[in-house]
Amino acid sequence: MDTQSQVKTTAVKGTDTAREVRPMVKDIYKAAHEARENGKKVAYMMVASHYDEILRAMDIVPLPTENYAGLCAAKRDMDRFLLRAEADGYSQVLCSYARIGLGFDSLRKELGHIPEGSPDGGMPLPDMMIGSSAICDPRFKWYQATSRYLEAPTFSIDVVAPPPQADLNRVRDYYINYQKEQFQGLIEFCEKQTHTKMDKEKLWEAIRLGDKAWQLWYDIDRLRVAIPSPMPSQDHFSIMVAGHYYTGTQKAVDFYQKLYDEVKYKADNHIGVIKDEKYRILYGGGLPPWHTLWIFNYFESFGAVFAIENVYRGFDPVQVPSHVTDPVDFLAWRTWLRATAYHEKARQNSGNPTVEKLLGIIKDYAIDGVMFHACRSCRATTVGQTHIKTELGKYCDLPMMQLVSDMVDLRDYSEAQWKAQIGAFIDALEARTDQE
Amino acid sequence: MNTINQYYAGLDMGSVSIKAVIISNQKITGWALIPSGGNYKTAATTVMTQALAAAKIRREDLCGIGVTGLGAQSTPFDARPMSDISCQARGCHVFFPSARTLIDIGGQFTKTAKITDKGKIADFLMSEKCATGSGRFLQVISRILQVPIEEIGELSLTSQHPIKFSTNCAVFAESETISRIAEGAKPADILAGVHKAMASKVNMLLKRIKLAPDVVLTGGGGEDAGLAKAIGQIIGHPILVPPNPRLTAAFGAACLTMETTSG
Repeated sequence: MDTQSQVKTTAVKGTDTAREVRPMVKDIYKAAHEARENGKKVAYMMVASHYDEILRAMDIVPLPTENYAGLCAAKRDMDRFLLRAEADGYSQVLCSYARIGLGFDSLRKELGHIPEGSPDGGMPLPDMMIGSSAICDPRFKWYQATSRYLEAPTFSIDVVAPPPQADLNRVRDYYINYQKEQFQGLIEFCEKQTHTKMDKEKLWEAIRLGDKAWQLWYDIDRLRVAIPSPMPSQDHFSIMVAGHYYTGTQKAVDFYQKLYDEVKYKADNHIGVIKDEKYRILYGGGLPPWHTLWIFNYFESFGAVFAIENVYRGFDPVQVPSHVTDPVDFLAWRTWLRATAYHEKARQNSGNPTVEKLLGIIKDYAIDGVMFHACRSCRATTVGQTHIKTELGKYCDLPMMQLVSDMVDLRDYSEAQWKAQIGAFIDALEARTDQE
Repeated sequence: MNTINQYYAGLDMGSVSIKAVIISNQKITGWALIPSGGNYKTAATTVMTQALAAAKIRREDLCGIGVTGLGAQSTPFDARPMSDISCQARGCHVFFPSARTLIDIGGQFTKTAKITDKGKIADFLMSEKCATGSGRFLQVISRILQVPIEEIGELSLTSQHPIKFSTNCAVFAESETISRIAEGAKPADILAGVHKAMASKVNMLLKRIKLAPDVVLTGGGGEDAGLAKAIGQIIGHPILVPPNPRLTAAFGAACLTMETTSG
């Protein structure tokens, strides 16, 4: 790789604590390499699958392969992996996270070692791979395809959520029991790989730490209702590292406590991200453009701050009933409650849980406009996005814009087109302000 | 503030051509249009010189310059880049105050916008990064048929049996066109088919922004009578076209500059 050609992709952050994330990202891969050297087990894994605490409790080092794709994009070192996967026959419309992961493993197999100059030292070979159906289908199939390139036992967990129209009282126990079976199956798989029985006390401790971190993260986001905005979305796309890649650890709790203190201080003292906040924008959906995060600063040059976002903190804290005393039962209940949090509201209004969530955010955060990011290769966050935008428009009269590119594949991005759209969007925000 | 006899310039640095318009009191007093070529700065300087000459004024007579278009960042002038959709809306508003929906078909993209009764943007949508959503599609077909681009509109209107394209991709449409020529299809019918395909794409954008009449067509697409007719038919509303529709963004940029400069 020609390191001389590295271009700036990142955004200027709004908080000091967010600037501490980069070493945490490096440590993810460093910890995985060290684990391999010390005989600890390393697992390729998918974040937001509700099983993170199981890995922590079993002393398995998580290696989030999707995150590695985002890192490659931020370093603008993705093409060699994308092209390799495509040369191996994977379609350009397959999830680009998956293409980078598959391309990386394919190149490593051919070379016999980690491709030279891979960001943050590359990913070590895993001892196992744990896929998931949560959020999208490539996450379930990805590691099965990876078996072309490396030998490691694979387990894919099914994570289920009922449709909003379902009678929740009628189907609840079926969903929870099925989910528990899935977690139990994963635990048995992990026990087989580690030759260690699951310690339920350790699982409880990981769950306690995980929930504490996510509660703090939620509390931080509630502080962001403050005007001017104390923390922008570009910070969210950094600080999510603690919540997703350090779930179930004290490190995540400590990080969010520190961030909470900083954001609270800023909110209390009316310290905004920019000096003259004119417009508060909601990042309505779609994975972030890891290749061009500086675009958030471009919006700020027009006085527009991304006050909040609807991606990568997909669920609010939930209250699992006190009669649940088994940690695996707890995980199953928590998954169910997270998945159905907006169902009741949806049934009473728009019929769509995401629309309900966005309407609540728009009201609470005094939002002036909504931006969506349609990622060509991310079906999970893009299919239905236009529908959500249209439905949202029926319940609120705000300027909305959909930018199109991809989360990591730069070939789908056009800076000129984005800037033309952003210019018109800012003008629409201004016209709305004039009317008021 | 009295703006009579005060001159403002608008520059639209598009992907295909660069346009300069000089206005005084919202009336065009001079304009020029040249191909963008490979050097935006040189082309911008040349087109501005020509427009000033047409208006019979000197550069020093200008009270302000507004610049827009995909190449706006490359302007050699001291001018703040402006959104081309907003400039189009502003320009359309002067010609047609009743306009509420704008369609701009340019060399790179098709843009649609809802505009307010004050000529400002209320909502907008752009075509995807795809040649069939842009004037480039027409250029490709014009080249294959060897019909000058400025003649395709009138020729299309003579079509009796428009052909139906089985693809929405410019690359495949090119090979499909060649196949149809080989089968003996008439150029007029091929062009009418292309216009219908483009109109269908425009209609999808308009449905999403919920079009409201009156509807204005600008950009190079506005000079194509066949395309205007096809769009009008599919949306069920008459299409208004400003005089010299390729100049609307430059004209709007000049008007917006006049408003912001003169307060």
